[in-house]
Amino acid sequence: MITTALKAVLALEAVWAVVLLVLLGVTMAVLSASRKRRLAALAADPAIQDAVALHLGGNNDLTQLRRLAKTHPEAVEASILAFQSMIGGTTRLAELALGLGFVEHWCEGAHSGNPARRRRAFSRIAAMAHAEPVRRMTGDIPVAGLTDSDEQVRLEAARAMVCSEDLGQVALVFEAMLTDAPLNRLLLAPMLRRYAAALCHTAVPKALAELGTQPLLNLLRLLVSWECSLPLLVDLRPLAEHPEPAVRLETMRLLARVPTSATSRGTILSGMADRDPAVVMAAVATVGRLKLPDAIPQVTSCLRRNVEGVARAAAIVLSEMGPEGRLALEGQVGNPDPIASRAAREALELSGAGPSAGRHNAGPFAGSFAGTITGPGGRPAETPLVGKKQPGPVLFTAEVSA
Amino acid sequence: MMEMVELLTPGLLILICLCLLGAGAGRVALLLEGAIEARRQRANGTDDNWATLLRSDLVPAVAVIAAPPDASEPSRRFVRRLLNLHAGNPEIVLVLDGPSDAEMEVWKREFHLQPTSRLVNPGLKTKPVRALYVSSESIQLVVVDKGRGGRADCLNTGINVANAPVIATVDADAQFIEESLLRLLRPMLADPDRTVAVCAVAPGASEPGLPARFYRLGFLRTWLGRCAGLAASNTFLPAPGCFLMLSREAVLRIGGFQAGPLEMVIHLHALERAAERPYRIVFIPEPMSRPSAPRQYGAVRRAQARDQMEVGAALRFHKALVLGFGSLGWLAIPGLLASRLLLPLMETAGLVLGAAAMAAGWIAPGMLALLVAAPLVCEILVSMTAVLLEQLASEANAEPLDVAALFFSAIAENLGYRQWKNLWMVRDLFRGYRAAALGTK
Repeated sequence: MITTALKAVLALEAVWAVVLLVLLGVTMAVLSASRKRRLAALAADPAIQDAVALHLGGNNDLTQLRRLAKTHPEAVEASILAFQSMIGGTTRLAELALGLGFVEHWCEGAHSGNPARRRRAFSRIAAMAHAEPVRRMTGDIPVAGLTDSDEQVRLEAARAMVCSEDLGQVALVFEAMLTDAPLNRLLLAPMLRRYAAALCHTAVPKALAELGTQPLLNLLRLLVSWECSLPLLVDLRPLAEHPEPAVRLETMRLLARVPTSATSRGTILSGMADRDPAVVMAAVATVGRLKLPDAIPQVTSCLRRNVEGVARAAAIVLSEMGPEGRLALEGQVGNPDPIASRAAREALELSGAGPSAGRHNAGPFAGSFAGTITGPGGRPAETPLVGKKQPGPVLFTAEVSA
Repeated sequence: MMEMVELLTPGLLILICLCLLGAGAGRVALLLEGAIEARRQRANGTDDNWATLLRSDLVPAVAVIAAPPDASEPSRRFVRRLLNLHAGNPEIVLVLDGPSDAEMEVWKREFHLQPTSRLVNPGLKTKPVRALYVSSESIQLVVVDKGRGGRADCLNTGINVANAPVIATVDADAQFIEESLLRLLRPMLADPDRTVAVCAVAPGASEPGLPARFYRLGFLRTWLGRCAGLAASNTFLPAPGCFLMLSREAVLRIGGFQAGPLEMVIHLHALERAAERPYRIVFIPEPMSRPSAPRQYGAVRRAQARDQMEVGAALRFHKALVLGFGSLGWLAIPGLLASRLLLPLMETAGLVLGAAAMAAGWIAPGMLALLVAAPLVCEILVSMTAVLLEQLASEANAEPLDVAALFFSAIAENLGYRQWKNLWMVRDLFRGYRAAALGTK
């Protein structure tokens, strides 16, 4: 019986082997065909590039390009897009894509049930959306794409809308991205930055007043991430008193970006008395960024709060606030509180004023510690950084949790 | 007594044969699942926005930790390649494991190193750091001179020195592309709360010669099974040559590296599952990082020994996970144990026992031939299936003749080479296990 069973197994394996041989044949045929196509496209590539370059140079005869687009549509499309990314905002390439029927094809692809095809279509539409004729052809497709189930499609649709430079559409993208996936926010944030001033007058105040906690947090992080002065004339005190510590924290960071007023100064000072150490650290960092000398007593009191991170942040900010700050810091070196005195000593050493500044031996590593300095967004870093660019993401939770 | 042995031997041989056939069927299922998963991952791959990512200030800083074994020319070239990686805020932390004065001089000359005072986070326990250096060139390189403590200790020291919220590491002999970091960052940025690690690895380019093909066949089985197949059930385990990116917070939570990347990923799986936290470890099956393609038998042997020792070390630290934590304990760890220890042992034992039984006349030669042939053919077919599934899983741009050559080299692999390999696979696994055990004492 065992022998029969083993023979049956071998027979099954023989069938399996035959199937594999057939599949090998099919695979080789497919690979050969794909290789031929690749080689043909490669051979036609110089001619395609020449034809596109000639068209860009003013040649309006599309006969050769039409012929090439018929035999190698993907290569021609890729060539147009490559030229587009090289030379940027010309409408001539967009008109060429229209003339060769590519835009129409993308519009069809945008309605496809296949997410990969939709992504591809939207990405191409976004690449050409700067041109008015393409926008006329695509119509409401980008707006519809903004609510697509696919994350990448939404991103490309948003890119297309931002390219239109229509403030209404930009505001729509801005609103949508506050509830979109973190990666989309990250990718769109730099694109929206150029509209920061306009949005601060319209969409931002509205959003600040209406949004729930998570979108509000996303909004605050986005505003901080723009890393520019924002003409935001909104009283941020209610946000600084928000029950959610993360909102208070981001508000403190935002205060470093908005026009300074008596109200905002008061809000920052109240932030330094917050019950959450992370908020206090952010407030201290904002003081350091804005260089508010009248806040030195409050920063000094933060140094004595018996919280290691806060003490370090305060010490480093004091060390960066000129002679007055340094004086206050030196006064804390002899503080009986070991955390305050150590933070003050270390900050003085880091700033080059300490007795053992510039040491190159194993000293700092033995019984070393995590210092805190301010980052580009006025953000206290969790770990020490010396002469190094700071980790920057405000949308990156791992760091936000600091 | 002899009669008892005579009676039991054929039964034992049949049992071994059935186990090997069952394992073969299971592996085919896993390979198929792996190919489907890899294809799905590729379909989900998006048009690349690296240019934007590269420019964005929002991209988190990434520290790439390198621990080259010496100061040789390949090691220095490896560090130079790391310095060419594209990312918004990259930093390369080169950790030297107890270098001699001569080696230190070589590194200093190569990168124009200057001593620096930088504060080191004492988050992970490591051998003492002797000195830190930065380059006077305009490159983001930090070099750590530390006491000898092994690779895991180097990686942990690198984590302590680095400040970035994201840590990356790659094998010194891996071939990787300059955009690897940006591509790896993408899944981490897409779901920062749940993503604790991202890993990319793909089979290397086809190389001529039987040794290279044998290595490639073994790697394909690992890639489709251990990587892609297990990724379908979120129990991905890395393969040699992988580019691994980790959330620093997650690494600190588990106390750092105990052995290599494989051990780290198993540890992350175990900890996140124990804490019942929703998490994911993302596998990217794209050719961002590939293992080097050895061409000589000696090089193949060394590469496989390294992997086998890493498996041994990982099993040493996480043997308690067997049959725990769902698919991790029921599929991934037992699968690793079976494919790297039990099956080679069974195959070898089966052959020795079969030969002895035939010599003693306890089993008919025809029956023995069937018992040997059935699992042997099964193994050949598993390898051939892996070759074809790779084409399904990856871009169809391989040379047709290379695919055919690899397909048929599965026959040669199983007629002698595999049986010989089984012997040192077992030995290397125990070497890794023992080294890990000694390292912890």
